[in-house]
Amino acid sequence: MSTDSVKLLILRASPYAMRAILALEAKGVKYELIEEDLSAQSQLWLEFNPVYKKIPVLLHGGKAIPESLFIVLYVDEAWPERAAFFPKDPYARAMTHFCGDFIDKKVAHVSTYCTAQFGFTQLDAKPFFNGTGIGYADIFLAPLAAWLRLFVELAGIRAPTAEEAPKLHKFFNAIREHPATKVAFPDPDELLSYVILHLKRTMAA
Amino acid sequence: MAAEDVKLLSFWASPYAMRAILALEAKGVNYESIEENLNPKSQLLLESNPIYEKIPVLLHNGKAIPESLIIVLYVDEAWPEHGGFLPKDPYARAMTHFWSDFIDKKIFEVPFSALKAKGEEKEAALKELYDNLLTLESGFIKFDAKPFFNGSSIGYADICLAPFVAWLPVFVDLAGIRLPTAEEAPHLHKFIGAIREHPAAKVAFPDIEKLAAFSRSLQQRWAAST
Repeated sequence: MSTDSVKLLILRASPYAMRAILALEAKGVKYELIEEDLSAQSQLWLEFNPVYKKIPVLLHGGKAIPESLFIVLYVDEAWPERAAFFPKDPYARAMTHFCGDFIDKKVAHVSTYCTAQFGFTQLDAKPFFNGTGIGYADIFLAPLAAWLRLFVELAGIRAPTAEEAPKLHKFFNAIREHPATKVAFPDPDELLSYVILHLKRTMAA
Repeated sequence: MAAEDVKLLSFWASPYAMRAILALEAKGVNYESIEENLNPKSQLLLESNPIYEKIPVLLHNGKAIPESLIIVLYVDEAWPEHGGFLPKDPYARAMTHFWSDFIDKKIFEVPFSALKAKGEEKEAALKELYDNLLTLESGFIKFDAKPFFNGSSIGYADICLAPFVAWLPVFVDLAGIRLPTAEEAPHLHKFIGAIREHPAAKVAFPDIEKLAAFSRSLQQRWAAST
């Protein structure tokens, strides 16, 4: 593939942006990161995501792919030559979809971290769902590693201990060391700004 | 693949189970359908889907695959020799997933909310569905659906949407659902006509009278519990 240009429109520190960045970084794709300002007059993404009117949106050679979930799937298939996000076996692929979907639906709830344990065991996580490299379900869970400290401090969430959820802790430690997260994870100040912005918008709505 | 053991834990009225049946039928897979009573849930169901405890669940040579859309993807990949449910091009594939997700979140559930709701809440659900069906029409157009998203044969997004058509007469009668007209949404109407004729739908879609009676008893139960 492609000498076609790749651009990613994001809102900095959004967990959805993080997923898209992780996917591109893991594949070693060259891309231009465009940070959008939600208050801006020209909201470019409205044209590229007319159905949901949200970012992130991936622009690749004139094609617009909206929503982090589909961006991750697209990146996996558009750059198939390395770092596959899914295993080959149909059953393992189905379980990967299941874990990613579960994480997407339930990620905010502490009690579900223990069920994420179940997922790790099912796919024999070493330490990632996808083995030694990150894959689909790992990309979905990863932003939690960036957000967890904030959840604990701001919301008093009790995260499972390393005894309760050993595989989850191994995952968090490993993901924090992964080169892709050096780019994808915001620093704590950026994260706090995002949360405040999000709270303001939610309260204003 | 020879000597396969394929079972589907199912419920005849469930639109989610219908997706799994459509996928298996479209691929010509030999399977056994096990009708679940759901009250109480069978040991097999609780063991096969411990996280959600819901049907449908596909059991293939002892492996359990839950969640209707995941089952559809699995069936596509486990029996690749009988035509693909997804296009080959990565962009078209991503957009197939996009529209299936839109169907699942913005069209599939809404009529059931309308069935349960009353007054303003019900009107809001009806309007939301109407608008979302117009948006879906734009999806059909982008895919140049002929008449299916997947061309002349059904694929992932088509299977995702199809059970909505099975329930449609019930939605119209009991919930007052309004569809965009054939002028406003020609592709949608062509899809509805075509899916009703599809051999897989003849198996998957239940008898409409039976479905109507079931829905009326559901509505009574909901009304009694509020």
